Amino acid sequence: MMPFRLTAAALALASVAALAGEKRVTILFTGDNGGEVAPCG
Amino acid sequence: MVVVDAGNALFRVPGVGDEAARARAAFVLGSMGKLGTFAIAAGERDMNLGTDFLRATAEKAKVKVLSANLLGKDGKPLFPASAVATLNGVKVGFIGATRPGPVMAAPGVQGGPVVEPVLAAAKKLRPSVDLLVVLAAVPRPDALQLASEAKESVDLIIHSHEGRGPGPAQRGESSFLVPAGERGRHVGRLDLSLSGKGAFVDLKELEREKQMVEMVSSQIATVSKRLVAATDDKVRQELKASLATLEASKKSHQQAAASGAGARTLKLEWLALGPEVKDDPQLKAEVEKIEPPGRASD
Repeated sequence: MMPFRLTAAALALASVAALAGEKRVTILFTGDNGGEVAPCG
Repeated sequence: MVVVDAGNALFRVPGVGDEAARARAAFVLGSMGKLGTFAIAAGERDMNLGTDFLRATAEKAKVKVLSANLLGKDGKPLFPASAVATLNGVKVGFIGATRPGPVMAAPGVQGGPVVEPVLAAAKKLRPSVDLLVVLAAVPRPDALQLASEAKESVDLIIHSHEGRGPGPAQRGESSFLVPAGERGRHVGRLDLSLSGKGAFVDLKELEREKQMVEMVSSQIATVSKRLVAATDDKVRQELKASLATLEASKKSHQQAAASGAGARTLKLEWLALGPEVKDDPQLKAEVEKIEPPGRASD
């Protein structure tokens, strides 16, 4: 995983607000990280 | 917005739980907590140091560990099957699932059959939630079986196990099977509109259908011009047959493109966590204590 990058990405994505009155939800997800902590992309 | 993980997050190789692995696992789960991760499925590669380590580290990080089918030595569930997140009044139910079979690093602990306990948890949750998501840390055949048997019981299955990487949402009978990425290279983002009714429609599929309508329309225009210019009867017959086929295709794509009206919709996007995403300096410094530069796995 690259948590330092994931943090920045999550903060950027968090600014997107749901439209008023609409029933909306955003799910951010990861999986199969396999203990990764260092840049590997 | 809710952040979740489909499991197999903490350890590189099943069964290896040395001090370096312990430090990485604790750091990853701690970072998930700092990110506000709501829940993670208990995957096989989350249990190299046993289920007590997973439970204690997750509790410290304030991340819920879910599994409907992970059973202890006494045959009882080791973690809650599900949890509900409430976001702007929308209730989202998450159910965890673990690979069936013994857990290598935890003698006596095993994943039971997947489908039955997940569907039991879904049946219990369904009346009280707006959206039901399974975090499935299971082999793909088990995920496919779950998608097939769940029908409308669940909406989405986010799947980890083989490290399949990013990809499109795959439509099942009534749910979508979504890959979870691998090795932290990407984060998936699902934007869901729940105002409509019935099964979800993938907005990207609708976009592709609209593009197909435009492409087929262009082909129809070309063939029509050739038909006007053609004088040979045989050629004219062939062109007329082509036109009929194209018109039928256009109608089919138009119908598919219109299928999103009034439906619940989803849109899946992948954010690559490459160099273009700015590092958080403080976290990067912590990472470099655990994984000095140049010692990454590739």
